[in-house]
Amino acid sequence: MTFELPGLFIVGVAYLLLLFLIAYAAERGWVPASVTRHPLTYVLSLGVYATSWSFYGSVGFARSQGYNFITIYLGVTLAFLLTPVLLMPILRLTRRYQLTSLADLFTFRYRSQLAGILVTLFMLTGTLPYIALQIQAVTESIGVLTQEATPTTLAFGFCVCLTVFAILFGARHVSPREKHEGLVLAIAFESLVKLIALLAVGAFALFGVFGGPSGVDQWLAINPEALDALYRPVTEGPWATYLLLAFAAAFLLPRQFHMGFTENLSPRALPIAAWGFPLFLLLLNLPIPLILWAGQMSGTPVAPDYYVLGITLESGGTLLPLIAYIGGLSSASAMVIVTTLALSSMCLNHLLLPVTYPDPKLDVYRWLLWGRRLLIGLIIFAGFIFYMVLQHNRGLVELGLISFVAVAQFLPGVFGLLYWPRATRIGFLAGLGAGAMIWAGTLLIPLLERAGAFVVDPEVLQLVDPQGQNKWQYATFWSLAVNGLLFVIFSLLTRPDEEEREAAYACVLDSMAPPRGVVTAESTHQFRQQLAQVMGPKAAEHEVQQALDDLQMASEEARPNQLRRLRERIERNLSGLMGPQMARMIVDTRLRLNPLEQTALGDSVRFIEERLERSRNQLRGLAVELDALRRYHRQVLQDLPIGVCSVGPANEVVIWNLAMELISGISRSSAVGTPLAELPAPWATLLVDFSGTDDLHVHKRQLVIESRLRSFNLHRAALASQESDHPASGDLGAGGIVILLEDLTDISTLEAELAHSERLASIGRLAAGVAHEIGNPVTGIACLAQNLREESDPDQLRDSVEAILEQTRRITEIVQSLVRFSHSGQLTRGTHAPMRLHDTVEEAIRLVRLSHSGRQVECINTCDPALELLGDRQRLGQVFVNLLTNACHASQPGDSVEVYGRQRDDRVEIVIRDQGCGMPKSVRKRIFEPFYTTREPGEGTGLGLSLVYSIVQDHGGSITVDSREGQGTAMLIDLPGLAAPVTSNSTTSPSEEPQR
Amino acid sequence: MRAPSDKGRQSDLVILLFLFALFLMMPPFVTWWATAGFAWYFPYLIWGLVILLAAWQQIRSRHHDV
Repeated sequence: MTFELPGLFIVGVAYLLLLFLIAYAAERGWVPASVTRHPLTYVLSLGVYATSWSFYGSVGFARSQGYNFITIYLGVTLAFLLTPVLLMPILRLTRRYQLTSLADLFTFRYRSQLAGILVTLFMLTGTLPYIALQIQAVTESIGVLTQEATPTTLAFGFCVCLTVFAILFGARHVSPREKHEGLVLAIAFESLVKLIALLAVGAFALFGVFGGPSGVDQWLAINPEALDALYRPVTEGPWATYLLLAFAAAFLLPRQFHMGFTENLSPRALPIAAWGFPLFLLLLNLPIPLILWAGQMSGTPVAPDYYVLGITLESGGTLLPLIAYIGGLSSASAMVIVTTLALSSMCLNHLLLPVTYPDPKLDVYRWLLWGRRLLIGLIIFAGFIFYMVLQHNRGLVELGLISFVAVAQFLPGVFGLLYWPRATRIGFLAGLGAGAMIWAGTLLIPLLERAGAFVVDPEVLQLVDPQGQNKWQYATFWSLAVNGLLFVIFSLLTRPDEEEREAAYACVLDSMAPPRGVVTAESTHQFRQQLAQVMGPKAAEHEVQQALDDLQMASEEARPNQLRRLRERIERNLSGLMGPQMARMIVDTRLRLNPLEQTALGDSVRFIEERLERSRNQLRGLAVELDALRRYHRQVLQDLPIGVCSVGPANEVVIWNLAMELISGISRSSAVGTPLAELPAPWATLLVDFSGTDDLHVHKRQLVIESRLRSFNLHRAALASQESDHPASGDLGAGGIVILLEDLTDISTLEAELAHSERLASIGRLAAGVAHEIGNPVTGIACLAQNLREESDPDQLRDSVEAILEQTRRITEIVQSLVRFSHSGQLTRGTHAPMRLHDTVEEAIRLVRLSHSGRQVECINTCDPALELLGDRQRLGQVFVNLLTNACHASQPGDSVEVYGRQRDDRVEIVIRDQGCGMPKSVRKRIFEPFYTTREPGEGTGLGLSLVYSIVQDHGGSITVDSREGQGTAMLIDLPGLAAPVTSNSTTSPSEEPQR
Repeated sequence: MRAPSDKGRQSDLVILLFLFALFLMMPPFVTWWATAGFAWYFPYLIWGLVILLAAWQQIRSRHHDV
């Protein structure tokens, strides 16, 4: 059975077209996201690891080196077992910092463009033999099927097809940072095809050639040397070396890195791949011994590398050979396409862009796109040249292993990147440089020399190129040993700079230092203008808008901390587009930071909190406990029933708790980071005014918010600087301030209601006196009126009328006093106005005289009639009524109560002194407490003196009591005079607290 | 306050599993099974066992985050 070349070529192209249709359907959304993002799709896409080396070459490998061939997959299994501690951290880094290749990763960590260039060049050189291997495998597989020598033009045609499809799969989009769902699905499909193809060939070997499992057993019983040939090399060959090489290749090969990290659509798929991918490899390798023995048994006239195809020709049909051919084509094309895409991205970011950055007048995106396409073509062409140089004189496995040793040179750098913050760029470059040179000397140069590319002195060649299986151990050991040793020695001899140290912590501890400095650009518009100077206006607009969308930020954003976040986001996005070094360069030059300007503390706190939230699951030991403690403290602050607002040294809000959100209606997210003065009204004024005064407490500050009068207590404490070694003794206030806000609105309303109740209760108590006081003049008026009926003398008449009017005035005064006293108190403290103290006291005395006890005691008003103060006459009247009532109660009939007032500087001192029984100390301490009374139940509310205290406080004054048992009591009131500034609130420090 | 995280124990488990797999896949264990005269599919059984353990470990710790 033979096949025609054109037919095979058409089948190949048709298959690639089918792949493109699958990719296109996925990108257009015709395939549900549940399929493209399914972990199985991800696992299968990782199957790009299995190239034509695995599909064809494994059988030849098994033939020459027995079970050593599975080390290439067991090493991968070992690497994927370490997913949580090895692969997941790399995935996190690539996603977070938009790193699209291994070169990007090293450039980011070691902060060196040279590292990126060296990694790219070495990766390119190390991978070209592998690309050549794929071209060789496809052309030779066609040769097996046609049983003719394959023309070179076919290899070239295959390369052209791959170039076109590589561009279609991965370079149709403007930005390489976008995930290619189509590519992932197409590569997953290719893996499925090669798995099915290999299993089909294996099934044919088992049932078609051997007639079933018993046939295999029988054949092995007859040919025990076949089984021995599989097991024996395990004890002789470089088993451990192969394991190590495969371990490195599992995630460091460009195609593995690209599919595993760059094109990862769902991070949650990676843990599943930890066992799913090894399972795929196991299934793929299960038929290999059967195919080998089937080939040996049937004596198929092809090299063991192509037994997969050779034995299918024995079936006599065309379907199975075609399936095997398509499986091989799948393996080769997937490898070339993905590898080329990965390498083109690396070459673009680390070779092309640093040398020829596009003119800003050009469309940067278009330039990058065409640069990438050109590089794809060049890389595949270079692979073709390599294939032409080598021309069929090497086995598939050898070319693959050369690449494996090359990528293993990145192992020290990766372990330094993930686990050793002390590693430096000099150490990395020295180690990698030495490893690369040893690799080239021991593997690449002998390969090219044998291919006839050039001539090397045989003695030199003998020195560096030990033949046989030993050469892999030799090359791997020396290259990695020297590489690792120089990496460690040079890292220890040199010191990482600050940038490098920061990147090291980002990689090792998953934490970066909080950002420092403030962006000089003050608006997103300025961001656009600055970026346009290097990227052109269109790209600048797109990048800024993209970052704004990513952060869900408004275009008008101007807060410094938010602009700093925008800058970080733009740098990450540009990193995905041009690599981390170029992105940093653009951002550093165009979006400058002013390092002298202090970074907002809120920004740093937000940064650290976000980082801790993300890293929560990676914390271990004491860090877990500390994090739990941090959460506990934060929760306490958040859930405090009192508003907490912490303000940083730059006057920006750092903490804004839940109670603060409820009180102010301003959400935490919009408050944190905002300068205090930029908070919505009236909070900005309230908090800025308070933070600017020397007062530590402000009581009953009133604000009208949404037409509602609200009342607040404010408290303040200065914070010591966090940078001080001894925060407790550090510069107090250098760390900002914390403001506590108590909402007293409900309490004030309640107080007003209680005060009104107290007044009504007082009126009730005065009712009998009122009746008496009004009754007397009424009786007098009645008598005078009776006399008037019989009076004819005009003088007597006038006197009687005058007497009636006098009695009426007396009644009117009593009624007016009562009305004023009982007038319903409002929450708003009455407007303070100048008032005569003497008159207010006089009116209070008049009211008190209405009561039974008030009539028995003489109240003497000795206040200066000219003495004035600023206050609320109605409320201060209540103060005197309550105090005089208490004084009368404490006095014996016939005693006197004196009210004395005098001006002292800008204050007014008032004393209400009685000659009563006085108070014991235990009572004195509690008299201002609400509901505390010494009277019998039902005789007093216990609110009188607490109300007095509250009113005096509201007037910015204080009240103290001086009482001795048996000697009487003096209540001392201190109020601001007319000249003193009086506000509706009062400020007192704890030391000024009145004696209570 | 929480006890040391489950994540820490999971990482420990991962390292233990890796060391166990390394033991199975490295000499002298490999030398033993390669010379003991087992059936041809014995290496695949060991490989399968490691995969099973990895799957068991992954199912135990599903709450990976990125």
